[in-house]
Amino acid sequence: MIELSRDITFGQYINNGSQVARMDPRTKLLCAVLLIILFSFLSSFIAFFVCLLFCALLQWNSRIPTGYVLRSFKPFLGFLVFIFCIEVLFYTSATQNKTLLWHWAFLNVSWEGIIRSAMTIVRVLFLYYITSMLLFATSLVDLTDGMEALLSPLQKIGIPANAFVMVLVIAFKFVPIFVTEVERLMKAQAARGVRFDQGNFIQRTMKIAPLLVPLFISGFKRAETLSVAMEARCYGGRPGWRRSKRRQLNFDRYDALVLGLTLALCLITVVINFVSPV
Amino acid sequence: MLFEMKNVYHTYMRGTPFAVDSLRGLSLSIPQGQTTALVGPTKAGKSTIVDMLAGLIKPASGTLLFEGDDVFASSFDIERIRSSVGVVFQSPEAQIFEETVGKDVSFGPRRKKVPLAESRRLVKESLEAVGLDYEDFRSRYTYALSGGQKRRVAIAGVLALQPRVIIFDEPSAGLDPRGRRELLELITRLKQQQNLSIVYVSSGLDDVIGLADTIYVLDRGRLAFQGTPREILAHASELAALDIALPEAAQIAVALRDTLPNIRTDVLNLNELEAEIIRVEGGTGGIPLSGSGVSPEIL
Amino acid sequence: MLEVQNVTFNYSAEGEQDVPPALRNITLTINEGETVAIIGHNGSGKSTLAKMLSAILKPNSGTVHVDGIPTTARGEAIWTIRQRVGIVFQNPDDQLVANTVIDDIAFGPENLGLPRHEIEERVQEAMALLDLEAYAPIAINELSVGQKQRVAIAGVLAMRPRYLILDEPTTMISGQTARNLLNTVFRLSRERGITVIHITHFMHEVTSFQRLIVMDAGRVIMDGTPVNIFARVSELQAVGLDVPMVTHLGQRLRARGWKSLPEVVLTAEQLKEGLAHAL
Repeated sequence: MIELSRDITFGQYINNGSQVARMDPRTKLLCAVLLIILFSFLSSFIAFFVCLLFCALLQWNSRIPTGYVLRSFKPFLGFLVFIFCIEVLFYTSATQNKTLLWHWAFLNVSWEGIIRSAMTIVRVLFLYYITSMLLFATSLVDLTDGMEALLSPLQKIGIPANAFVMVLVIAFKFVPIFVTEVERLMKAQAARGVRFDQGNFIQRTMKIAPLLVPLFISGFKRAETLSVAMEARCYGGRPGWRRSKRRQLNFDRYDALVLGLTLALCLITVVINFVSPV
Repeated sequence: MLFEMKNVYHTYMRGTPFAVDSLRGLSLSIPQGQTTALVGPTKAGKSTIVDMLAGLIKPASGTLLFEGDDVFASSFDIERIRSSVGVVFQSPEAQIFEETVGKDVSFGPRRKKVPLAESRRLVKESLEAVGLDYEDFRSRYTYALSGGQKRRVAIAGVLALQPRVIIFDEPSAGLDPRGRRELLELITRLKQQQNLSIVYVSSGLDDVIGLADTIYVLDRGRLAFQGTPREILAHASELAALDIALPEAAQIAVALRDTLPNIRTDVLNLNELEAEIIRVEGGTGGIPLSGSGVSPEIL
Repeated sequence: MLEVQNVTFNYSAEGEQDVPPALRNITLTINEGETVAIIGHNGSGKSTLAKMLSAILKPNSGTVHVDGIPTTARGEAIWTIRQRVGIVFQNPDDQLVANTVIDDIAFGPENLGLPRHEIEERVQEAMALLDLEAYAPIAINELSVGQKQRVAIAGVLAMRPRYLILDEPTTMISGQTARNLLNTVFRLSRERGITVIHITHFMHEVTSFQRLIVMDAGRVIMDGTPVNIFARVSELQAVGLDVPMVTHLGQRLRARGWKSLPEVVLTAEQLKEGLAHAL
């Protein structure tokens, strides 16, 4: 059954009025960046467990259905399993301090290998979770406004951060539109007898090819019309041009609380990371 | 009976925060050899029905029968639908995916492993049926075609399958008056020459009032009412409530009621409208209206 | 005032053969405050003309001036044109940028670098004009096409343009929604003196406009009031257009002796009054 929009959920804002959704975007982005750095650095399972508690709190406060979020992991779970296996099989430790469980030629499975590879997977999952939650709980305009505000020092020294942010926003805006379009294309072709659900991996991949050309053409057309429409509303680089903002970003108590909690989490988990055995 | 839908329910994005009911207990039947119209405003569920009739999506509950057999039973071979049901979708660009017109129109026959000579013949006949010259168009690039030409190629591609029924999903959307007229003439020709069953999905009544044998009017996933074109025109206020514009002739008749209270509003075209005005005003002659004498609704 | 002088334009690149020009030697002037409808079949060049008038495209030869400023101007001048000439396209999805209604309407004024209080004022004003106040915080994805189109128009009005060009705005909407949109546009013209240029191929939409310009194959073939233009039925049919059914009906009834009807009937109302007089 062709219903892509149901399974592809990355990057769609859910406007449910939760406190998380209404936070100052600068705080959200800052915390997201802090957490991303934290997750990339942590190597202790206990530390990640504490992070899990934090994430559960976040999940609850965001009022976004858990099932929906978990379903967004579906598309790449297979890939993760594949990566895990490869990492385990090819694991080599600098200290050569391995407890081998099984080996065959140059492939080996060791306890350390399993633990380290599992850590990588855990890290990826947390990173993906935080990034998707950021996108689920932050409207596109919030994202732009927050990014622009945080990147404004760069803009002041002449780097076109604002334009970069606009490009990102538009790209994200079109994701659901393109998903719907691919769905339409697939249905139209399926009605002419193309069987997307049959054939081996290579055959199925080949069937995607005729979808790409109309999609690209449509994409370019839309991009052109949109950029013309934006220019017609006076968006455009001219010397000395600066956009003003209708919205005012408000940093309030809830933001301070979240920022505080995030910093606390970072502190706690870093400490755990250093002292914990696992 | 070609298709029968019984109490069908469907939800898009089921289980997500974006879930939307598109069909809520819809039942209808599409008889063989006739033209059936499905009319309704946006979000009435028309695209869902098209997808179901084409065998592309399964209902959440309810049954769809094709020639008496349950389409979504495991024993049903979906190939039956693929080879008997042709669909012309709203944006023909979505349906055309080969480089050249010839290759695209021959896609259906090639997939059915029809021998080359036969396939060529089908392509030629299909292109000619839609008014495109075979020699001129067969090696043209599909991406270089105009919107109207693409639409015709899409129809030709469907005809090459030799279907028994063609579903048209808002085929006149975006066409100018001439394009629309040519399209309706084409469909009428196909109906007569090839004895096809036709399902015409539309958001207005203008196209189908002169074309359809039965019209189903849909409202938010349910059937509002159904009938012959004349019977439908008797539901003027309900149609207005659904934001479905009456066809031009009927609209004018309705507007004239203040001055000509006895005027029938189930007029299908200009000739009937003129005849009706003459009749009411007591003029000479006039063309009697055909069809059932349903008394028009008092607004 | 929008002045088009001997404009010719071709979409094809240099060296591409056999592509006829989209606009052939067009000359016309549109005065401030006029309501103009430009009609033609698909491919007649009407959308290209719309893009010429809003400086989206530049002519291959000839000139286009907006209030005296040529559309080939560089620097600040071109942005003055962009602010004065607002344009709304067929598909709202390809025009709307932001996530919520209020943010999208504010996009234009923000681009003009206006101070916050003025942006807020203009946004409120535009929303009031299009009856969108209740929709301010709503995500655009959740709106119907008709509502999105109203947001697109509001977004353009927030720029306080002098000229409003609507390029086939009702293609994706039907029925009452389309009629409401046009009524709103007329109201804007009356109340604010905005020059409205409506591009379409639906004849029934243009009966209330002051001036109709009919195009065919890149040329302007008729330019006059609806009454003048609708009288030329066979010429219109020759270029793939037609008059509304009411006009045909009026002609036929007059031929049968109903002389109380106007020579060219534009609306059902006129027909009704004409018939009432006969009784």
